[in-house]
Amino acid sequence: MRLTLRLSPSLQLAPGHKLEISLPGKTLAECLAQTRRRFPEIEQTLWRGQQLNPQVLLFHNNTLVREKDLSKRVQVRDVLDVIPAIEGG
Amino acid sequence: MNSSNDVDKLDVTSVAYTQCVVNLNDEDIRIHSRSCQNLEDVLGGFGRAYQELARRHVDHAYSEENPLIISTGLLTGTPIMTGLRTYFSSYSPLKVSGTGKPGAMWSAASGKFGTKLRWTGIDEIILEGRADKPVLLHVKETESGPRVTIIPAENYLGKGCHEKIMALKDDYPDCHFAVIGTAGENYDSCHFGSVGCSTENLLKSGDDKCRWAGRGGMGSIMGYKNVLGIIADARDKKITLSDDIKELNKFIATGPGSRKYREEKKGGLGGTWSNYAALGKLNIVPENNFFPPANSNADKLERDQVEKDFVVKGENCFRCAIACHKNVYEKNTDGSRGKFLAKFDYEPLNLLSTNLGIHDAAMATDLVGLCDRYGMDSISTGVTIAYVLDYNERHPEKPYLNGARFGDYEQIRELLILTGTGRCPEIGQGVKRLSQSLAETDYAMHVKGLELPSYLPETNPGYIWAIAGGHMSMQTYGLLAADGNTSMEYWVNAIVNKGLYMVRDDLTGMCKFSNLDGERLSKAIETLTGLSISEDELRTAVRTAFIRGLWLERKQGFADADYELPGQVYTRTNSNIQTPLFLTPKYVSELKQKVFERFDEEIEKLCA
Repeated sequence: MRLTLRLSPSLQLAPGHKLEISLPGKTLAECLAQTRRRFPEIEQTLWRGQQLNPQVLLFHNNTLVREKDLSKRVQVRDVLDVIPAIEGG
Repeated sequence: MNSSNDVDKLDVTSVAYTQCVVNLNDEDIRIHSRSCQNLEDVLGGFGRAYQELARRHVDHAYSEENPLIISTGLLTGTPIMTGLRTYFSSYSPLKVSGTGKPGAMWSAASGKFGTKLRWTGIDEIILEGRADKPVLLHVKETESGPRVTIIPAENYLGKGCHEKIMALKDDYPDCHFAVIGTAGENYDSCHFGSVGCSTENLLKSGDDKCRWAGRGGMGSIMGYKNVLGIIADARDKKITLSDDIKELNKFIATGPGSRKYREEKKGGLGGTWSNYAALGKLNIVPENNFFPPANSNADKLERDQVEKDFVVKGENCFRCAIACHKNVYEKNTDGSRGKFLAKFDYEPLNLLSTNLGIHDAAMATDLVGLCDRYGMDSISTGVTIAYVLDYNERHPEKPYLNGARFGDYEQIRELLILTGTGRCPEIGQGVKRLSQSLAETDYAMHVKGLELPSYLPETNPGYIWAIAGGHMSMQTYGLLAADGNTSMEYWVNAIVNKGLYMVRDDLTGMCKFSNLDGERLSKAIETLTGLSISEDELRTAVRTAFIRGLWLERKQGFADADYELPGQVYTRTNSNIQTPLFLTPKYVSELKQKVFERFDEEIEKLCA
């Protein structure tokens, strides 16, 4: 299975960095782990050491992801959005 | 906006916009078609307006030399979702340099006014001089092109923004409006009057649901000019959406960029309000004038708490599916929606409740609603009142004004009403001038005279370089919480290479809540206007516009001492904050040096 990860543009670290990537894996956790090896600019946003950055939020399709949801299996056409927890207005 | 562009490289001079110059002194009105001179002209918004301001010599905000420029962006009024923005630009009565000269400023609003204005055939209005009696501007679409007339408006005087719009609606059906309230009318004693723009929901429901161009006192400038409002009078346009635009709009409505602002049932976080929870985890929600205690009360006004006693409904601007307006209604005994009370966004809610020591949702709806009724900027109002409360806490022996202290709802309410009706010039002058008059400036929460939004200055040195308000023109306010990085290299990069680009949609006509990536935006511009502008060209134009903003600050006398955080950041450490405390005078001094090394070079190049 592959998961499409989409980053909110406000999390883009520099122009030209990808906002959308495809990640292989059976579960959300497996797919996310791929970012550690293959996408250093996204790794910086997503991870704090071994933990997911608490100041970014993940939405699996239309549902906010909690820690316990990371073992969920990925289905065809699944999307994982990454957005900042803090944004103003 | 007309274009005859048919080549790959855009010839900007082939793009024209329609400008109306209204001289209020002699009622001379001229409508011209003007050729663009650069890409900022093409994109519009403050990118174009600031070039006009740069040509002016203005020593006082309230002077006939100071124009008020009402402009649209390239995509305002087009079928792209959130292409609704109207920009109000002028020299501000609030943003002021150490020399006393006013700083250039813009403020933007959505609603439907901008769309209707664009549909009249006018892209930009420049108000010159000053009318000798209260007037309205009627901008009308006619078969022979746009027509602009000045109408006496004495019978609308003294009404709040919403009340004015509802009265105008009866007199001018099928129009949309940009108006000031009593705060703007009393510009001399309230420098932070805002401009309220009507929405379809407001006109239909009769509820007080304006969209606000709040920052920098653009409503007070309009009040000084004796213009109570502008009527945009055009027939609605039926537009068939191309498949490309349908797809793009779907992406805006369902993509990652707008999730923060959408309702939970639409896969969102429920609005900017959700910042309460995110910032609360680190104990950095402003409370008691930006000094959160160890036992923060911020959780009391999180959305799920408020929804126990009230109904909250996500509502939208014209043709927008994000539904970012989080409108609070009374809850009937059967749980259904009752009377409309107020719209809660993070900034107005925090600065008119938690930061004043008020943790009750009913009181918060009352104060937010009142602030809107009088047409005041909620950030400036809340921060300046918070300063008064803080002063009174520190000086119980010599209470100032009515002696209100944190949590004193009735007395805070009294101060707000007096300010909104022009009867409290002490607060109405803004926190910078007030704190100088009381000779206690350390805990006056402003930079360059603009009151801070709801993010602690201890967490954001980027405030120093915001050219039009701390959370609208420098996207660094959430970085410390998100990244926890305090290195000099990180912050220089965040300010110089990233944060400033948040002003992009203050040119384009799009709402920041669409959060559209550059590639899609570039394609949208081409599809909707036929103009080929690459992502890189867009970034260059945005950067140039921002640098011009810094240059305009220099022109008005902003100097090193103006580029400072509130003194309390250094003099009163808040150990309750759970983010790194890294801002020392030495750190900020070095940061200023490094950031200005980069910006100065670009400012000089632009001037040359």
